[in-house]
Order: sequence, then C-alpha cells, then structure tokens
Amino acid sequence: MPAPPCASCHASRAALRRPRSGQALCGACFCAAFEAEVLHTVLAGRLLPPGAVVAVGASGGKDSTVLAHVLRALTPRLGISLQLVAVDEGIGGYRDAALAAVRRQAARWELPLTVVAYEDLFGGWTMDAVARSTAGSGRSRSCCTFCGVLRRRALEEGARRVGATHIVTGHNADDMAETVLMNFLRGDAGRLARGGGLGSPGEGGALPRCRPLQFASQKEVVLYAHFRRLDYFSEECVYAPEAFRGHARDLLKRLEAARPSAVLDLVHSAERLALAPAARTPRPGACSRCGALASRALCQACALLDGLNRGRPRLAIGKGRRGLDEEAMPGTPGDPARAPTSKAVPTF
Amino acid sequence: MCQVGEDYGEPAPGEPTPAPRPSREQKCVKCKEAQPVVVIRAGDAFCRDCFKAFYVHKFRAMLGKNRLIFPGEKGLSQDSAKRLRFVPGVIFVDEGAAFGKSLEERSKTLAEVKPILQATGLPWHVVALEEVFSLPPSVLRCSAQEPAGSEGAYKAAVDSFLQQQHVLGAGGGPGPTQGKEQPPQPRLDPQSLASPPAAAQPEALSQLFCSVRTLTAKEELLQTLRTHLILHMARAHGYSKVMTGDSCTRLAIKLMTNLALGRGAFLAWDTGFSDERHGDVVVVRPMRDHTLKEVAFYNRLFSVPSVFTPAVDTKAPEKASIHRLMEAFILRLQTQFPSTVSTVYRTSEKLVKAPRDGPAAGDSSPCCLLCMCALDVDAADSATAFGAQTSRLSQMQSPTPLTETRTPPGPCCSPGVGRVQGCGQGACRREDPQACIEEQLCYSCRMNMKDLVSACPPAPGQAWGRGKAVPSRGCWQILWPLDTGLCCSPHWTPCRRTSWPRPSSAHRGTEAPTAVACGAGASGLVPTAAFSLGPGSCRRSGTV
Repeated sequence: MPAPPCASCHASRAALRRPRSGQALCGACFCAAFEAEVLHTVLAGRLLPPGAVVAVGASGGKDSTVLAHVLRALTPRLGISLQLVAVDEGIGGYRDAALAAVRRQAARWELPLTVVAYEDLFGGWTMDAVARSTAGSGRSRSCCTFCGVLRRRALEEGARRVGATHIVTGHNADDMAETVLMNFLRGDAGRLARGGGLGSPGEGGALPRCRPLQFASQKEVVLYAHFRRLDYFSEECVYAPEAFRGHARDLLKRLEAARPSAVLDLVHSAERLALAPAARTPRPGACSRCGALASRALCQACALLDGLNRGRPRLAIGKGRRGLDEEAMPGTPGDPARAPTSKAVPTF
Repeated sequence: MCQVGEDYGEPAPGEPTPAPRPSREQKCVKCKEAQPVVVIRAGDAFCRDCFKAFYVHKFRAMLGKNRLIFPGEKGLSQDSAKRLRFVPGVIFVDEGAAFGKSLEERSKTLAEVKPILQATGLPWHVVALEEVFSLPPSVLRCSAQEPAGSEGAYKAAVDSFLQQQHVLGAGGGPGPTQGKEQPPQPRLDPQSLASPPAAAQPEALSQLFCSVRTLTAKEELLQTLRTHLILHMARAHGYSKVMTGDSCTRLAIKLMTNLALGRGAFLAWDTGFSDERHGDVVVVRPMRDHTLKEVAFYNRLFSVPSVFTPAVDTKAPEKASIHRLMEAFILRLQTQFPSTVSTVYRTSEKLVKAPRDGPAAGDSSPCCLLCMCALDVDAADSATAFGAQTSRLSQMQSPTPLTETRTPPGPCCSPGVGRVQGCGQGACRREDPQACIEEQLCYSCRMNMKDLVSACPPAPGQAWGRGKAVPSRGCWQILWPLDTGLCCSPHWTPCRRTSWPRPSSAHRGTEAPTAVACGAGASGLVPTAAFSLGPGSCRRSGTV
C-alpha cells in the first residue's frame, strides 16, 4: 500500500508520521517543521537575543548534534554565533569515541570547538577515578550524581573560556519528563521547585542556560537526525545502567505507549508545580572557594570534590553534610600541582 | 538509591534488601509484653491491641492536626470522654451501570452491601451513578451552611474511632432529618432521590462509558461523575464534609498518576488532606497517613466486612491506562526501594494550593467545568508545553475545510481570562459548542475530553438554546448540570461558585453536618472509609 502524500506539500510521498499528531509528512517538510518549532520556542521564550555568543554543550550524542545543527541553520535568523564546548569526563572506552564524533562535526560545520577535561579542571579526578573511589562495600555508586554536577561546572568553565553569553544544552521533552518523575520519586523538592521552566536566567554571575529542544520529543529528534543524515555517537555511557533515571525512563516509555501525549503532559505538570516556600531554593550566593553560584557556603561541585579528596566521597551526598566544616586538605581543585590521589580509600 | 539526600544504606539495585526478621522472642515494640502479630514499616512489630491503638491514634492525630472537623454539640456524651463529636453518614455509589452490569448483578451487590451499612448504625445512602444525569439545577446552589473554617470554634477533643468501621457501602434511606437541629436550608424532596433511576438512564450511562476510547479517560470520567454525585448528595442532605478512605499508598499512586495526566498544578487539591475547591463541601482524607498494609491488616485483625465490586479497570492489562501503569510501577519500585511511597507522600506535603507564579487566584479566576480547579492553560503560542501542543497543530494543520465534528486545531480565543475573546477569525464565529466547552476546561480535562467520542446521534440543540446541533450528547449530559457559567437556558440561572451565599452568623456554633465518602473502592480490595459527619449527635448518643 503506497504511502499517503505529504500533508504539508502534497507533492512527495510521506516518509513518516509525526509521533504526536499522527500527521504524515515527507522528510523535507518534517525537518522544516521541526526547525520552525525550535525557532518558535527560542523566539517566544526570548531565549537567545541577537548578538549572543552561544556555547553549545556538545557531547557527540544525538541531542546535542541535532541542537547544533538546527541552531546553525537558524543563526542567520537569530543573529547569534555558535561555539561548541565538549566535556571530557574521563570515561574510558566511551568518551573518547564520543569526542571523536564531536571533532568530526566541528570540522564539517566549521564551528570552533573547545574541549574541557575533568582531569584538568578538578584536580585530576576523572569519572573513572570517581567511580573507583565511590565503589566498594556493596553500595550503589551514584556516579551520575557526581558527573552531572561536575559537568555543569565544566560546561560553565568552558563557556567562559570562549567568551560565551549563553549556554544551550540538548535536553528534549523526554528528558524533562523523566526528570520530573525522578525528582518526585526521590523526593527532591529543591530540584522540583527549580526545574520545569525554560532554563535558568543566570543569576549570581552564572551564564544563562536554556534548552531549545525542550518541547521536541525524543523520537522526533532521532527522526530529524536520520533525515538530515547527521553523524552522531549513539552508545550509552558505561555507568548508565546504575542510574536511578533508568526507572523513570522505563516508566516514561510505558506511559507514552499508553497515552502518546504523556510526555508533554508531564512537562506541563512540571511547569505548573507549586511548592511550599520553604522547599524553594534559598537566595543564591557565591561559593567561598571558587566563586561560582552556590546556595550554601560551598557550591555542590566543590563540596563533592572535597569529599572525594578527603577519601569520603559520600560527604556531600548525605543528608547531614556532616564534616564539611572540618579542616579541608590543602590544594584547591584545578591546582595543576596536585597529583591525583591514589592512596587507599578508607572504608566507612 | 532512592531518596536524594539520604545516606546510601541500600545495597546495589538488583539485590533484594534482606528485611530484618523479628525473632521469635521479640515482643511488641510498644507494650513489650504481648506477642506481635504484624510488622509495620521496617521492622516495628505490634501486638493486636497496640496496633489498634496505633492505628486509631494516627487517625485522630490526622484529624486533630488539621483542625477541620468541628464538634457537634457542646456537652460530652455519657459514654466516654473522648468521642468523635460528629455524626457521620455513609454513602455508597452503585456504579454497576457504567460497566454494563445487569440489574440482577447490581441488586445482588446491593444486597451484600446493605447489611454492612445497617450494621454500622449510621445513616446511610445508596445512590446510583446514573442519577448524575438527572441532577437538578439546585446542585449548583449550595445550602446555607456554617463554614467549616472558623478557627475559634474548634475543640481538640477527638473521639474514639472504634465504632467507625471501614465499610464499602452506603445505603439509600430516608432523609436523616428527624430530630436533628439544622440550619434551615433548601432541601430536595428525599423521595425524588430514593426513587429508582429511570430505565433509560443506565443505558445512557453505559453507552457513555462505551463511547470513551481509552481506559484512562474512562477512569477520569468515572471519578468526575462520582465526585459530583457525592457532592450533590452531601449538599442535599446537609452535610458539609466528605471523607474518603484514600490511604497513603493510594494517594502516592494518585499523585504520580495526576502528574502524568498533566494535573501538576492541582496536586495539592487532589492529594492533600482537605480539598475545598467545591466551595461549601470540603473533601477530607483522614486516612492519608495509613499505608495500604496497615488498612488491610486492620480489616483482617478486626474482621471488618468488605465487599468486592469489580471496577472499570478490573482485569485490565497493565498498559491499558495511566492509572494501572503507575500503580504497577510504584508497587514494584516499593519492593525494591521500600521508602518510595513515603518519599512521595512527604513530597506531596510540600505542595501548596497556589498557582506557581502570580497572585493567588482567588474567586475571580475561571474554573474548570469538570474538576473545578482554576484553569492552568497558557496562551496558544507561548513557549510552554501547552503552547507546543496547540501551536504545532495549528501550524501544520493541512488546509482541509473544518467540519463541525472535528476538534478545532486549538483554542483560538485565549482562555486565560476566562472569557471567550472574539478574535475575529472565522473559526471563532463557528459557534462550536465543543470548542467553547473546551476553553472552559483545564489542561488535563481537555486531554480527557479528546477521548470522549460520542456514539449517540446528536440531540436537537436545545441544550444551549441556540438551535445548533450538539456534537456529543453524552458529553453535554454530563456538562449540563455542571456548567456554572455558560448556560443560556431559561430553566435556571447560571450560578458561579462565588455567588453562593455565605452563611449567616446566626448559625455559628452549630455544627454543619459533614458528609462523606467515597463508595466502591477502585479495585474493591480495600474498603474505603465511608462516614459523614452530621449534627444531631444528641439523637444517637450511644452510637458514635
């Protein structure tokens, strides 16, 4: 049975049905529609003003590849300039291949690329070293907690190095939906209160961050990458199976199967959550050590690194944050003179 | 690794947590004397009597903490110093018609339920779900009632709850007005409520439910209709509160389900202790601190009778509806991370009943027709999830002519201020009642309405008094009694929630009766607490 004609141009045969509306479109019209929607999100939300230098967090994966491609197509319309910033977390066998993909993309699109490595920024701590440090005694490793916090710091640092005014990341609607489910299941009222909007406006000296692909579903991102024949790295991080997000992702896939609009319904719910004032984040200040945006004396990155350096990796993840005020070891993160700690980790 | 901020004491996922089994010699953790019979939480073993005391204490504490239930009369009754000073009634909603059950099956169920209700000794009411179609217009006018919220009159003595059994039923009965002192209020003739439903109504109800495409929308519709019916009964009989038997587990599931349905703005109303969006009648959930396990064990240990009635989702596969999916997910996650339900419950306590930004809505903001919450939709073109859904459709809509039966590509009138603003486009002048109805619904109710496809031929358009054919008769029959603002019919005057008369101060001090409860529990396995509170405890001194 031949495919119906494209519902938009009526000229060519439809190549796909859009997942949410079920509309039949040909490849070119679908890509045009996708780009138009991203443009609309950026314009309606006033995310990237003209003249902005935009640092794109590029990981080599499908989301950031699509994001960079779409923004590059929209730069004349928006009047912005793009910089690619890639973060090397030091995960062997995974990140090297992803970075190779990013380098190919940068060369093809002729965009400047900057790579920031955890090893340089955070005193020799790579994610593999963090994983080794937090493993042991049968506890779950919570690598992703470390990686997420440190990556945001690294991205910020990389953006500053290239003189960017805004940071964009490729989070799509499925990511937002999984995040709100996950935060509810874990009882993270602080993150629930913070998230759900269009990104952060950048208070306290931090660069404003946004997510132009926020309302695009993951399926459409993949389809766009397919129709535009984009080259990206599609393997999963080696530590991903341990993450709690896996549960939320599994749930989201089932919800979407039961009701296709579930993803956007969750995003809508996240936007409209009303939390008690006590649960909302306190007024942000500056970290006493590195000067970054922080709601306590130490920003989360410094606190996590502190814990790692002292051989007590769970220091900043516990509820009590006990021991944080103890005398810290000499040497700050980023100090090139600091050798990676290789002494035996005392068990707690 | 479930809770953020919690010390990671759990083993890596995949290994079940070995629960510390109480040894044979272990005694009840409370009285330290008797043999324990049940383990609550993570290893607290209770004996029978201590468990009962624990259960009852939790119930009282929940009521006392929230200070919403008022004492009926000033004096103490003779029996005990600590009696619940309100008089409940019990209501049961017979939903058999919605599932296509025959009259014999329904009367069989009723025959099982009635003895339980009679045994409680409380006034009971039975009402069939199809009566929602014949709700008279007076449902929209609240009776002059004492407001429940005057802080000064509350007394902290809450009563022993032992006589309150958790039953699943309600009984129809004569209006419980004899001997009670009540503020004068417009009342419906009790006979009209007790009369059997007209023969066509169960058919209409069953057809309505059959015409709904998805199980999710069916469950939501059932809930809406049931709520409205119970509220109506509460108002008609002069009750000011409705208590439902939602347990902690059920509320956690309900919270996550509502999140997935797009009701993030209303979570505090849907799952909080009290729900005052209906104005005069407040829905309270006193059992929200009890886990499902505690309820089940209570029923078993103290032989609380219960009746199982199949619900709309009985035997449905797991992926049939959002509700089923979420229930299965939460219960499965609970086995792996035992703190899941309590974490979600604690998060729900941090939710507040206010719009996220902007001033408090107050009475002036428009409310959803079906769920009575303030509308939470944005402009059609905004950079939000709602905007993404509507603008996408309107942008990519293929240029075929719109027929009357098609859902319009999106509200062309901004619903934000609750009025249909003329935008001059041809679509707006269509006078499509369905579009106008949609604009008065909140986000999640709109999603549900999309699944309500009518299988009935359209009735002549007298409903709106405009002479247009209405597309979905079933929908209009629901919305007819519920609509508070759009009606142009000469039969009754539109009556918004805000215009309900405030009770006069003359009634201060007498307790307004509070009605309760929800009938058939969703899966039938857990009996829901059904009791309502009413004044006139003087007439039943020995009972409560």
